[in-house]
Amino acid sequence: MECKSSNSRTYNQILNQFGTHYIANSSLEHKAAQRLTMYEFMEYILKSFYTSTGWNENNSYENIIATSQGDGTINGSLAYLYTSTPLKHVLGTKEISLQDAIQGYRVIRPPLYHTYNNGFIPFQPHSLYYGRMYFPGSALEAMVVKRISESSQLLVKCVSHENLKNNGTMTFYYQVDTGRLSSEYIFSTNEALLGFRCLYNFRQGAERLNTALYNNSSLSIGAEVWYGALNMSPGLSAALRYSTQSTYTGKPLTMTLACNPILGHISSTYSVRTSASSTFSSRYDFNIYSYDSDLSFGCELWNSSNHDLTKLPLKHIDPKLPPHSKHSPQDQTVIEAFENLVKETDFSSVVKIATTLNDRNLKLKWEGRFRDFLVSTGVDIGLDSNSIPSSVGIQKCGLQLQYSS
Amino acid sequence: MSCNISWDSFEEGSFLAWSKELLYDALNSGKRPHILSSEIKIKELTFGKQSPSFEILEIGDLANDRFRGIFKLKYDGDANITLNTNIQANLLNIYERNSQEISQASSFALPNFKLASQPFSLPLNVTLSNIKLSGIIVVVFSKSKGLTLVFKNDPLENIKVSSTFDNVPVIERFLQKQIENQIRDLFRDILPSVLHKVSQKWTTNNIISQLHSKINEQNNDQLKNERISIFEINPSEPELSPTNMLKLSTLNTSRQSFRLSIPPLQDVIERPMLFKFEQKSKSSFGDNFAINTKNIPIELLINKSTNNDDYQINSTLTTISKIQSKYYSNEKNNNKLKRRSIKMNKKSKKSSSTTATNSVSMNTEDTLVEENSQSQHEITKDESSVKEIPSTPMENLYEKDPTHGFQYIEIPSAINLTNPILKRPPLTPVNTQTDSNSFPSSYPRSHSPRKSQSYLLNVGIGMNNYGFLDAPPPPYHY
Repeated sequence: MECKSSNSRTYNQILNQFGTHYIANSSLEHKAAQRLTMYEFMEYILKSFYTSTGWNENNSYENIIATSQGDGTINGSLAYLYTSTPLKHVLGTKEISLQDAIQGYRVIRPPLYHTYNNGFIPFQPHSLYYGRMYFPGSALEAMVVKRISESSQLLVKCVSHENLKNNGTMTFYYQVDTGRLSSEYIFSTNEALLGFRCLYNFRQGAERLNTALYNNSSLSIGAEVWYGALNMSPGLSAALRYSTQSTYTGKPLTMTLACNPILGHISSTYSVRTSASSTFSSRYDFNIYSYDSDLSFGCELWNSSNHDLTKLPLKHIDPKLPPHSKHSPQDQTVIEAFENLVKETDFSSVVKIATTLNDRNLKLKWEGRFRDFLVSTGVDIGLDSNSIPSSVGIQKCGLQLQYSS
Repeated sequence: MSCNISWDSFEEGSFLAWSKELLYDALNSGKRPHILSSEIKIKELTFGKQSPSFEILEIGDLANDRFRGIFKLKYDGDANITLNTNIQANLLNIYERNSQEISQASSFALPNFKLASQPFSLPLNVTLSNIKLSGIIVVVFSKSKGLTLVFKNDPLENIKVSSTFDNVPVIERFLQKQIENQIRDLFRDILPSVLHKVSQKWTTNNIISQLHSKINEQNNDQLKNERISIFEINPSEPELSPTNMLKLSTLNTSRQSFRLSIPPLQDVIERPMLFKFEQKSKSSFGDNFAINTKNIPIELLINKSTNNDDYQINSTLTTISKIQSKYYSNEKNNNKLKRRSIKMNKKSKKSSSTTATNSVSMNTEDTLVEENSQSQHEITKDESSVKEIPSTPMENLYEKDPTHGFQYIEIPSAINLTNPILKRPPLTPVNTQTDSNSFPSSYPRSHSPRKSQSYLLNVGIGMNNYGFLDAPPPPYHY
């Protein structure tokens, strides 16, 4: 059975919830790197590698590996991949379920205190080698993942391109992940950048008891520190995340609060999965020095080809009961039933919409499966008729096709 | 020996605006560096009151086509310039953008910054003032090679750089040093090369080759495609024509008055009058005729079954012809407008005799009055008439009133071919209209040069809706 537990480990997780991640990072521009909402094939392979080796994968991989549309041209690349462990459950685009291929709302469950893989997979040092060459232009990227111990892993990524300084960049990530605290040490040769990220999960009261009360909420705090030694550029941010699942309906929600003390920037998000096929989230930014503020909204709507979704399980509670007895062993079933519903439903496509109040444009994206291809198309529509030049109408659009077998 | 420079001409508005524009384009051309998060704007630019002083130290070579001399330049005035822009204060954001823009793959090795790379831009104002120059220039000019200008020493003696970051001494010193170095480079390298390039346009050899290339061009293109702006020929030409400004100002001031009634504009109906106009025209036409159509009502001309057929067709046709004539005449054609007469509904001979006299071609305004006096014909409703498109540039609108029959109504001439726009002669009021229901009624006009002189029916061609009627003139004008 695949052990694809979705425990959150790294700091990136906090801000990688659909709300902030999607809104903050997914831009449907041609030229800018399209921060992922559809996994590239490489990332999918990588995820499989992680599950095969028992590494708790939910880290920021999907985000570091950028998918870019190219400047409206068709780009090609050739890749080489070697792993020392057989990858399990790698499916082609025909059979892959859309939930696995498309990044969406990630449910954060509180980490169980004991070993996360429950001893199913004994530890063995595994490694993965990957290289890719792009055709127009001569860029080469390579990656090596080496599992050093049960709780640590080393990742090396490098890029070679003639426009870069020194013709290339190499970045090292050393990740340590115990159950409670996960930290990451980063060094990049571009400007000699040093970085440190960590994420700490608070212990829940119920977890200590680990008894009948199934409390699915978790509180985590994380931070990142950066320092570019050559150009003396510092960076610092900290974030707090609270994530829980409703015990009545099983629907998960997440709230985060992040700040950047150097710039005086504060950001807060709220995202909730309102049904098995829709998610909504909002984000509010504020800068205490420049009083800039921004409000963003996003939503995700999944469609399924069979229109008879099983009815969501709902638990009914007698409000007259005292608080402690409102929880029951039924909670767990409700939550799990919802999660199963989400996992098992055969979705055919998803529509994502995002908008911000500052930019006054609407971003739409459609992802789905079309005749064995995974298709992702997006468009950026301007709504501001007061700006100079007036920007009403479609500003940018993009298309991405993916096939594997 | 020294030269007198009229520095005041530099302070003139048009030159100042032109140089601001030039500077703006030069500063914002090319790719914007990531450190700037918005464009560079020229907030203020003055050339000061004092002019630089030129002194001729030595003249080495003077001939018809060449010149060589050494000048001394001194400037100690109060010219200054202020620039305004926004800079990106988050260095990590700049780092991220630099890595992303290079290629698709270059962001592969970029760590995923979260809030640490949030953009944060700060406004910046930089003012350069207290410019002191003192230098010796060697000028060599030859008609064949152009102008060469070299500074023998570094002319910049003093420049004061002040900015919004003056509170931070580190940044202040940094900016001062950087800008001083840049200005020194400007005088030493950039200015001579730019002047040399510009001067090459005006030297003889180049002129001949330019002429050759232009002739070759014109063999391929047509002359008409080349557009020359007045600015190129005569840069001192004011941008706006004085006559246009006069017209606009009279138009503008005509509205700035407490008078309740305002002289109307040509071919325009005032918004407060629109309601009345619509009511009036609705009542006279009846409901069959759509007032607000913007298209030519083709159905009227094709179908013969509706009731008010004749009248509507007549009015439609006359309006169309009137509009066409107006367009034609507006192009100041002095040819006679020849029109084809199309006869419709030949049913009665009686009417044909009458129409023969109606369709006299008229070219002048003088005959207008005479015609009207003769032209009271009545045709009963039962007989359908031969309809003819009137063949005059001066429109006669004849209207078939259901009760009174045909009547001629004189319309004042829409186009005055001989007089300029601002000086139209007073119109002769000729009013033959008796029935208040018929449309349009002509009002006696007062003598105002801007009076609208046309009535137009409500049939529009193209984008303009010609369903306008002038407001009645103010009563106390009589």
